[in-house]
Amino acid sequence: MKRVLLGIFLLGIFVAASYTYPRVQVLHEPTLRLNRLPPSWILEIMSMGNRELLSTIIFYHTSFYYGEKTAWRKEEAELRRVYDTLEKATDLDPYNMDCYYLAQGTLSWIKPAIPKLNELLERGYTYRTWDWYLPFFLAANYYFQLDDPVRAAYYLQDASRLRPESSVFSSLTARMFYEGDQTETAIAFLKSMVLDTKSPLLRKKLLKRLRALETIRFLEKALQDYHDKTGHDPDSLDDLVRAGIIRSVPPDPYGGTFYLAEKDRICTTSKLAEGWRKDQP
Amino acid sequence: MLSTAVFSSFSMRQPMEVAINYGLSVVQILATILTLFLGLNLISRELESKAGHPVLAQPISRGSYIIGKFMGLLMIVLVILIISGACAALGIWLTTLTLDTPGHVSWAGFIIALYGTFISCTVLGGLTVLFTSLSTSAILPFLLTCGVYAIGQSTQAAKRFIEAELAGVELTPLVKMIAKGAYYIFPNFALFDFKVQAIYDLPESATLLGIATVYGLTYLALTLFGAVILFEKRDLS
Repeated sequence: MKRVLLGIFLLGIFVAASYTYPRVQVLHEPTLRLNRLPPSWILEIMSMGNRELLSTIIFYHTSFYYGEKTAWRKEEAELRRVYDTLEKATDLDPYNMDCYYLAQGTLSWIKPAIPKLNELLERGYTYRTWDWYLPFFLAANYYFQLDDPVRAAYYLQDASRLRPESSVFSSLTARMFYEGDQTETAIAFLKSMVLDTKSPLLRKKLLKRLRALETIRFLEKALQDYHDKTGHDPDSLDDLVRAGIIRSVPPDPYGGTFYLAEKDRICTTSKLAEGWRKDQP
Repeated sequence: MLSTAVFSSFSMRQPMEVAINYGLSVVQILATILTLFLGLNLISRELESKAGHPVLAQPISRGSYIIGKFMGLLMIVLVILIISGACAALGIWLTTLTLDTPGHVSWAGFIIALYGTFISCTVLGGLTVLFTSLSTSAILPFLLTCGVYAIGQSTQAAKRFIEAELAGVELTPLVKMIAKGAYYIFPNFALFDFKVQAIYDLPESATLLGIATVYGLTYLALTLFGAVILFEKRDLS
């Protein structure tokens, strides 16, 4: 009987302690720290043949740390450390997509960090040659943060080749080439995509964009002819008609109207966007 | 098995890859530890308790005794690998059930990675037999095997580090020579690691697999050869 009572007594204390300690622990729990890691080659030796597992563990630690810190003010030193740990994790396992994903998610909004981030992503892309995410991330970084539409277009071109079922990628690639004054490249790219595409719906979309870009190219050449003929630039596209270089300003397949923007650039009110309506502001 | 699904659930973009990585790594760690301890106890404990003496009194050579003991160890390691490999495969399969789009699992790559672990454990087992043949104490073979295993796991990384000639890192010619010497003398355990191909479904190189097998078996034959010679010369009285 005494043993039973002693057992119940010990069990009671254990249950009480198990119920109480998590509440007390929260008050004294140290904040998660992201320690500086040793060089990658030392980490590789420390992994004892389990580089990929160590890479995943480092990634988990970094993502938990970042997750806890989301409510905080992110300081540059901290973000630098996040980058360093992710770089080391990818040194151990250059195929680890989680690391590239987290790096893009945490650092792509900080302009000074973009060159280093792109370096990491470009290295990852040399390994993950089948993955459209990495060229897509690179294209986004070059386009939105570094104002380099041509470089962005080349990466997006890769992404659209890796994911041919997506009409958005091929369409955006052509648009970026056009924005980077690479209309010829955009046309060549679209022509190759039209040939490779099996989906009738996608082909229809690509042909529409191709028609629009060929019209732009036609107007660009007419501008050049006008300049050669008169020695100065036209004020509007109607000047090309008045000079007899073109019969009329061709229509935009997207429903907009072509016009001459600054720096002799051919633009359209539709912005080559699908679903644009004339009554839109 | 269940921990595979839990561990991989923290992944953002590649839970399947993490599940395969986790499964194969756990199998490797488990098989390595068991090979190490079973191999070390195999001969030393039997000779210490004199339980092996009646066997040695039989008309069999000491070499046959060592080889027989090693073959027994190999069988145990193989059974452990099959069981733990099956558990890991089950864990991976359970993970596929928890995901909406689980993605492709390269089972051929998984089996090749397990084969690589087996070759690695075979070489490690050979080393434990060699060092237990060398010494009468229990601690020295343990330390020697652990040391050689640690060096064998790092020689490839060290060689790459030296060849990369990183800026700001000056290495003396003696250090370079020692590292290169270690690369060729100690077993290169990184050669038997086929996990990355299995995890990311990368193409396997039949040549590399063949070379790894030949290298592992040759190294094993040399260690067993050394173990037999040392054991034959050992005073058991």
